[in-house]
Amino acid sequence: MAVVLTRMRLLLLWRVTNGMLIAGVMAGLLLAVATVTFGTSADVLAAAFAVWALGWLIGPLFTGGGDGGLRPEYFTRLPMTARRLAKGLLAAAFAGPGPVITAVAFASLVVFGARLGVLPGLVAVPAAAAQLLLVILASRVVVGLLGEVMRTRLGAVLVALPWAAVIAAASNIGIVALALARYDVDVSRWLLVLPPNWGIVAVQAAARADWLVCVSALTGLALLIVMLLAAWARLLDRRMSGVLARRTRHPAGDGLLVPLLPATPLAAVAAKELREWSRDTLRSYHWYFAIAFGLSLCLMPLAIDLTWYLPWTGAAITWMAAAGAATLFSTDGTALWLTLMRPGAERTDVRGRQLAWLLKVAPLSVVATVAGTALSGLAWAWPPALALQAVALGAGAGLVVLLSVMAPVRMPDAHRRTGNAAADGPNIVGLVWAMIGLIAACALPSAAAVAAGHLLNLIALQWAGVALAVVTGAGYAWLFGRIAYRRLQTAGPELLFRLRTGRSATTGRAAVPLPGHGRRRLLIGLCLGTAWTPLLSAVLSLVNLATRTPSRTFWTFPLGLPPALQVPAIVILVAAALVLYVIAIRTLLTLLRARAPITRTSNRSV
Amino acid sequence: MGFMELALELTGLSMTFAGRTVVHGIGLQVPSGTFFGLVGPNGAGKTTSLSMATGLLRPQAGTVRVFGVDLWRDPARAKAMLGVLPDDLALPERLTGRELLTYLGLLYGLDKQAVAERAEELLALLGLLEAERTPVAGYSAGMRKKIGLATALLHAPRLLVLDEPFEAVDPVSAATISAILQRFVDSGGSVVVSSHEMALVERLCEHVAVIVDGKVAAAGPLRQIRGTGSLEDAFIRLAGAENTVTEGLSWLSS
Repeated sequence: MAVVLTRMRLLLLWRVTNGMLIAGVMAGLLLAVATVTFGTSADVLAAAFAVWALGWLIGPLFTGGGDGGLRPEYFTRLPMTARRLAKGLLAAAFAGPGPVITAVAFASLVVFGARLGVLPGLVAVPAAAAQLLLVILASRVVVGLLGEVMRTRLGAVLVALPWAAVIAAASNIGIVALALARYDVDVSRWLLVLPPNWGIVAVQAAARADWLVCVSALTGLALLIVMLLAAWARLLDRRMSGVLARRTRHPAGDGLLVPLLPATPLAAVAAKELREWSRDTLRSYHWYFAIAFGLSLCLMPLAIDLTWYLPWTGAAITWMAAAGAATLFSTDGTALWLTLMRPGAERTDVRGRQLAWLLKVAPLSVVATVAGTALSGLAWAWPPALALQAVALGAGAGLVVLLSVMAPVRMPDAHRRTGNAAADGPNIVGLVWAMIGLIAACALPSAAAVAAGHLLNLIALQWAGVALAVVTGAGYAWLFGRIAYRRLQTAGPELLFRLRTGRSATTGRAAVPLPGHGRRRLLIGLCLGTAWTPLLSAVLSLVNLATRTPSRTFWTFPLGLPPALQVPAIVILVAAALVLYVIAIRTLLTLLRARAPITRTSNRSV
Repeated sequence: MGFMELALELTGLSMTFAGRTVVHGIGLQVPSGTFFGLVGPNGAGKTTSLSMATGLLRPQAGTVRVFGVDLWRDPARAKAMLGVLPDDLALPERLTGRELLTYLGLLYGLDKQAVAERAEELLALLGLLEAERTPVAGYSAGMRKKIGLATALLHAPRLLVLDEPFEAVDPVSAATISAILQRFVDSGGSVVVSSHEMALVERLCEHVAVIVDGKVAAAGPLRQIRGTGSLEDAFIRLAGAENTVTEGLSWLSS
């Protein structure tokens, strides 16, 4: 059983191997080797293992469920118990790059133990193996639990909240570290309490010849593994026997806005979209994730009395709401055919979706921006906060349609979904990063105007920056929407084909992949995904420098340098961001030029 | 077919997927005001051909004319006359049947009153009023076909192209759908259906085309295609797949 499933999984994995996967594996291996190299102390190891475990818990949510294509439903009709299937699937789960990379990382425990002596080294071998088993099982159980709770809107909210908080904390680790230091939390001791670190406890105890603790820690790991396996078997049983499907609820209701919309084609599309936003649990999940992420990110610093983040709450929510809607057309799946059958409906469809996204996101995020800025008491923050909010709304409204039309992802059609966001959603990491990077790029002109106003102490220039943000935001929404519906008008059938089959082109010639195509897309994604980091750091440092606010976060690290180096460091950061954006745009243009002849060919052949 | 107006005319339609040609220059003529059946074995290229004929899949070669209008050159005019039920494509799944029809009607530019009346009538006729509060995602396979048919009829097209409208539909609903389509043809409309239900095709259609391996194996009036036998016999003969299961599977009879 295990051998058959493992071979099946390896075959499926081989079918989907592409440049993106290989790059991910390389990056993972680098991290694993870094864990082995730098994991010389218990503290570092404990922190590293906690991060690896967190990766296993969060990862499947963004990468399509982590089951590698082996869905339990495929095995429903085999005459075997759920427990036996769980064991077989667990064995198969080890076949793949993720577990191998994690095994390399966890081997650092053996190296660590061997340094302490022969016996600790020997204890470390089963301890590391048990840790690996634990994190992989925990990951499977979490995916299973998501399937249990994500069947209702309330479930989607409940799942979104903790996940968003964890990711917000991870993306603002400097604040978390400061908060822990402030409240005098002994981080390394608390980290050792976490189950994925019990192996370290066992190895350390073996070094002290404290066999009671050593055996207890190992037994604890074994017990947890048995419990998780039992839990997973139970979850699999419920999933396969149709118990879950019976519990699926279809949320109804229109919300506040739908009854107010007039009976026009545009409003009809907007009403349909608003209903989907409130009734589709996958969309609800993305929306509540955005709210929880924005609130967590910006309220967390209050723990160390830092009100500095409050003004950006609304912009952060908008940013994440856009990232969650980067698959807007893809979530509707093949329902696109209805638009294609209505003469001239492409424009209405795109504009209606934009309108609905704005109606959904704008009220809450604008209130968050205004309230956050007012509560922060930072008078200087009004122009940048309003500017960022305006441009994020405009660019977001434009990019959600543009990205989802330009980079469609095949998803199961709504009536075929399992209801589990982790299992239904495709790998959208690249799209999310591209969205974040692109909105940052769109915010550049107005951010530059507001920052210049700050540096030169010109109030008028700062407010001109806000006006610029409103104008450019509206421009982005108009322009990107226009490109999107033009694309639908000229290549609608091709987009439908992609959503239907997952393959990219219908013509014989275009079916042949373009040389260097995957590599270029990876490069664009990487550049857009990383470019905003140095830029944001530079802007925040610059604002801090101008307002003489004492710096306390990771983002303003240039201000920790000697005074003479601060401005050059900021300049280098801006230059680095610009270079990355230029590379991304140039690669994108090359890609579009390479594509153009094929589109023309397919048009002519008709 | 003389000088009869053609509701649908396919000429030399071809499609290749990943190096495999699935439709080889198909040509078909559907006279206006007729009930036209498209039959063929699984994988013969029926759905691909109908997708190309309705503007959902761009052909690599060939033309499609809907009442003389080139669909791929003037899609707006051609599609306005066309009602389509594709096989196995999604709908806005979170909407109820009435919400879906209202959305589509308004998108077609119909006024609110007309949309409400047509939606009510279609839902009642197709027996979907009982599921008033169920979103399309919660529909059974047969109900999905019926709401799909309602979306195709909503804007009063002149030509209906329906891919497998009777698949997974119970006999009572199949009779309702047949009656609706028959009435549509009687009042001057034209219908193209693809189906595996030979008896239904034989009863409803005046013209039939048999597609085998992406080519038209035979096309013409039903009587001419079936000859002296049944349509099923003609189909099996043309598909070249007479009963081949005469031996093997001995392990099944233990």
